[in-house]
Amino acid sequence: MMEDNAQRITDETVSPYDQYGMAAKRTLTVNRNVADIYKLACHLDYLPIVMLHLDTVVEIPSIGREKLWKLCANWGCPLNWDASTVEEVTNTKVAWASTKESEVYMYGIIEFFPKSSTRTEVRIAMRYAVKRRKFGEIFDKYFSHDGVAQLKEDLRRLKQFLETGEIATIDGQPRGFCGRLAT
Amino acid sequence: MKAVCWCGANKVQVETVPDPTIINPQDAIIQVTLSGIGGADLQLYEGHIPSTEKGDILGHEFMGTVVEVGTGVKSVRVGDRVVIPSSIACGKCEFCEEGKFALCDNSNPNAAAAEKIYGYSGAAFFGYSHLLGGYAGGQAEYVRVPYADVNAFRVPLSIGDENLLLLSDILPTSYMAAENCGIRPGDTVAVWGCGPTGQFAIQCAYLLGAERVIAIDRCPDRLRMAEEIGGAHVINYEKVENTLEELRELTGGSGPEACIDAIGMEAHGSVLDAWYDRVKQTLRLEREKPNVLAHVIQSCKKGGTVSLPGIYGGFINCVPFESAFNKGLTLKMGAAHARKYMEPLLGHIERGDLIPAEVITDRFTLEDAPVAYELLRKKEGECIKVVLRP
Repeated sequence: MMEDNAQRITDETVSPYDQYGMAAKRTLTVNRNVADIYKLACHLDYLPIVMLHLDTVVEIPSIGREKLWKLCANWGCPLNWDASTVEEVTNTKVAWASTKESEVYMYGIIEFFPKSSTRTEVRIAMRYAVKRRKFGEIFDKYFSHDGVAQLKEDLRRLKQFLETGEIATIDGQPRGFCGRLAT
Repeated sequence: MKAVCWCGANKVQVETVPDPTIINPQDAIIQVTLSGIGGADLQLYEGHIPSTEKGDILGHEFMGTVVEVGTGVKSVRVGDRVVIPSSIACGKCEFCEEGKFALCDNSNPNAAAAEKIYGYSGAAFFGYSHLLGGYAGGQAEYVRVPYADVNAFRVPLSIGDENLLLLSDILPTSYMAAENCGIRPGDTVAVWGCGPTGQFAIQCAYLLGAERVIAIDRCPDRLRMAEEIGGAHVINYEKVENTLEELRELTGGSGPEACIDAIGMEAHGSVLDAWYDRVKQTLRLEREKPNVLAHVIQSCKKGGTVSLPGIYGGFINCVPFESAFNKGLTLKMGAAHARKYMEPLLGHIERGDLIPAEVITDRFTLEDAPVAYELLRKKEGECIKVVLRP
């Protein structure tokens, strides 16, 4: 059962545009209590910190119990879509999916398996898909092997964020020019 | 600010570059008061380390004063005098919590690249190639230190910079190398290489209970230091017929219980196999110089321990692994978990058990770094440890 969700998401053609997408999964051991991680995972607004392709994620008012989110990606041109939290089981899993009207199909699930009181195994899977004819350039640039690798790196950054609260980076640090023109 | 930048093989330049800034909330900015040039820097300087890019600021050993802290820094304050460990630790992952700071899960922003080569990425290091993070190093006037609450180790004003700087890398490396030997009363420990790491491996081996330490090198000045300051019995491998036989005679025919290779990638050699190593290295057929490692394994007593503080890179062949297997050797290795050892080693310094300044032989200003690198590369005179003062 533990493998099913992540494997299903990455293998199965579940979306209307399923031939033109990317999927990635990752298993992490996070050095934090499951309750802390679950609390964070319930709110998608942290995703732009760890996922470089997302510009913004904001919660929007919803009528029912499910949470609604508006996401904006920076895949060459801005793409917006709405997603809802489709499943929340306390300290066990959170799943979210794009709404039916969206031009981007997205499905993600994050599951938690406590290893001890301070350590949690986290399994994450995400799938994106778009219409190839309409979004050809985006598909070729991002929905490729490199795009999948980038998505996997996004999931690695999630561990850094969950454990330390920030993402390791050297962007913006000084360096020399060795005689080349400064840019 | 001024900074020492790598500009190609055997070329460094001191350039004026922007000052570092706070990038993440847990960062601190340190004004450097002293930095060192080590064997690892020499490997970078000579172009042996892939993923080093022109313009990279070098320096993995440095100390100074905190001049700015990010909003997430809780225990370090502006004005604190600190030594910074060479390996960068987050303090929150399972490895950091176990004291294995050099294996940190989170500090390397290029972990994906390291993972492709190593299987799993360890910690990032200051000033030591992009495979290990690409962080700007401390041979500069200012440095940005991530996760400052963990990585900025506060030190007292009562001890001079030269007796504290080596807490950043060499002392922890040497101490961990000796600790990894599992020294028991009566043991003999042999140390190959009498550079700064070897010098302190000798002293730390005695601190940890070795009855005798035998030091092996070819440089007379280094051997003299090992004998006079470290108290080691010395062997000049260029003046004996066979180092292994010499060690056999000195240890009642059994060999040393523990052997430390304090040379790593820098190994020289005076016999045909060393020539072979050099040719292969030149042709890039092999990235290591395994001559010393082979001798270390061959020399070790059956059932003994080989301690490898590094540094190493790439694959190596011509290593007598069959010998290691048939003698039931334990091989212990790894980059030093510097942050773990800084507090106890400071205690040793305060009590006078260790006097790190004794190995510092050459002092330069930051502007003279190119001269300093060439001096160390050629090992002219009595050059053993070089420091730079901005």
